[in-house]
Amino acid sequence: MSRSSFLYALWCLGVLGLYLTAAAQGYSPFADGGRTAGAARAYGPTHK
Amino acid sequence: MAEEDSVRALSCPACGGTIALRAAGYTVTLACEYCGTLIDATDPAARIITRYNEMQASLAIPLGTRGTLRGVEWEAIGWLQRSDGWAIWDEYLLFNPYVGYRWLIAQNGQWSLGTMLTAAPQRDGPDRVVAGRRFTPFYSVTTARVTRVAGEFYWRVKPGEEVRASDYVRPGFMLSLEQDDRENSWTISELLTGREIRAAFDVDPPPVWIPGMTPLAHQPSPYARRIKGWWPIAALSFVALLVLLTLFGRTMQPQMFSLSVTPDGPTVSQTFGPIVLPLGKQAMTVEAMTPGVEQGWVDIDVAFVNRKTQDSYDAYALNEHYSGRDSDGYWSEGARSQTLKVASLPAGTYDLVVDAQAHHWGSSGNWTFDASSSTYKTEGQPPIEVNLTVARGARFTSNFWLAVLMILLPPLFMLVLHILFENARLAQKDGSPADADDWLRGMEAP
Amino acid sequence: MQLVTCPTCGAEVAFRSSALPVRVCDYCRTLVVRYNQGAQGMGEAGVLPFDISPIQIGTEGRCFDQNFQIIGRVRWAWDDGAWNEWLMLLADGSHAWLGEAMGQFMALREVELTGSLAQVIRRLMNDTPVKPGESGNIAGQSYEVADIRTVCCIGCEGELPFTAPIGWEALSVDFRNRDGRCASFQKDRHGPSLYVGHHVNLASLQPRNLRPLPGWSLPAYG
Repeated sequence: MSRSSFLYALWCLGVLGLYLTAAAQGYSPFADGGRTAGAARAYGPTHK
Repeated sequence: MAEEDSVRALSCPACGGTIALRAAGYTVTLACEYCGTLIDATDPAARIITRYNEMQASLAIPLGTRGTLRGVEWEAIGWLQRSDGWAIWDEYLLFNPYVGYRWLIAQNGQWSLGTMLTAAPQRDGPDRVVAGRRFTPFYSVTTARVTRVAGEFYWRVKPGEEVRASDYVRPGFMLSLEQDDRENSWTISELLTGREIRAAFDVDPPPVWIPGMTPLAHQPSPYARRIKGWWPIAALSFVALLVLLTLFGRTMQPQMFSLSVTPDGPTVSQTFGPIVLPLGKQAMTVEAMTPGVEQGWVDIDVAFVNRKTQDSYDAYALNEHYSGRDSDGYWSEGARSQTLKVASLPAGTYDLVVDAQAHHWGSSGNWTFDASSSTYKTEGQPPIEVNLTVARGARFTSNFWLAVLMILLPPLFMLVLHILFENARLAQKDGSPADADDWLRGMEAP
Repeated sequence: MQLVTCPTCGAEVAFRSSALPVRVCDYCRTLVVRYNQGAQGMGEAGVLPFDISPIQIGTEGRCFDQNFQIIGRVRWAWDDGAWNEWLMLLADGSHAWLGEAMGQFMALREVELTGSLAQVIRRLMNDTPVKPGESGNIAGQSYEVADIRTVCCIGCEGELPFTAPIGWEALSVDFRNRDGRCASFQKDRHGPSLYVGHHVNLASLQPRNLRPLPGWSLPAYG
């Protein structure tokens, strides 16, 4: 295997690793929702 | 008869410098490396053919240098510089008494090893074939002229001597035909890697190609090789991603909740739960279905609220449906169901807080004008049922495609560079402009 | 092996081959021609200039599917160069020539100039000039004229099938074809002769007893 193929294989492994990490965390940059932006977090009952 | 040495030293009859005769018996012309004077080596008196008075340049491979190339030891015994009016290149004559002669051709810092053929190549249309390998035409008849000479040669070379040359190429190899009045001679040159030529002779490393430079006619694209080596890795990674997508994209333990909202009625808010999230982090899929929405919309805000920390993870869906009839017939648009994917919820017990609001744009029914919002609101619309399915896990195909794009980026970059390289290389081709065939040949292995 | 006394200097001259009539005396360079029981001197052979040919008298190898030994040499010169023709004694007693020029070799055997001959050959026999590129059939193969030269013998050594005195001139025409075969036509004052063979390189001859050249390591062949 040539050096460039080896480096590309490392790159692909990295991408797969990133994908796995995101999947394990249930993360996606394109998710419809997640943490509310900003640090403003209400304490106490917010149920209506 | 014992000899002390294979090399005979002689004095240049013009300048007196000591020059060497290394291929005695074969050498016909000897050009003094100090003054350029041409000496007839077939004449025992070493007669001067033409007197010059010009110091020859310091050569990349000085005459007499030995180097081992592909298991054979060679001595560089002659040098000439040639030009075709466009490019200038150096040719070094290599000699080994047991193997014969070879040429080292240096152009643009790239080195090729040339071997003379004993038999003419076969013709196949415009192409030439040697030992089953096909060469396509590249340079049609050009005139190559010797500009400078030093050392020994097996023919009567002199500065200004011209031959008609045509060149055929395949990746890594050039097949050259040289013609003068007397004969045709064919030579195959193989482009040597920087490592190979530097292991044999101590020359400067060949320059790495960057866009803007012109590759040699027979220079193989380093990008074609990479793309060929990489695509199995890319295919394997794609398959692996597909497997991971299916493995990690499952949704589990669905829970169903329902509420009703009246169009143009008050906002309905309801809390459902408990929803238990066991893993450190997970995504949640919420499918919001409003099968009854027609000529209007339903705005559904959902929030996962952690019972302990009160952290809120929000998303919203807008379901709508419109339809009607016009000159083309029946039409409809909108979606009565949306799938929301909420990312990275930490472990804990959650409540789902749902706020829903609906509006109707119908032409039937009763309206009243609402002064506070300056809109017409319908009255008496039946309530719309909102069905929510909440499941643990989510299939993020967007992640998948993003990963596929990242996998493809390096090969695509190599493809762009390959196209730039081949464009620059094929631009030098004589005759008909480069066609698909030339491009395909450029992708062949050397 | 036949031993004869050199008529000029009295040294012992050995003939290895029974078929070849001429041998250059190693000491005085007289061309010794033997016949019946005696020997006669027929002129002097030119002194061979120094060269670094890897072949020498006594080199052995394999050619034409037979073992051979080099027993003689003639050196020919023309306006623009010179080359060696080494005489090979084959195992079956016949002989052939190994032409050496520019590190490439041509192994050639004489063929009879009888039967139907190509027009280019007949024209050469009639002293009609030919040009490079003309083609003709020789011994069933198609050849092209590669070059035409007037050559002069400038020296010889060892055993030879003919006398090769200094100043001996001949017309030499080389032919080549696509498959690596070659042919050579020669005409001098004794008459025409035709040789047919093929290109070889040193390695394919599986040579033994090559000439050692100072400064060069002998490759391991054969």
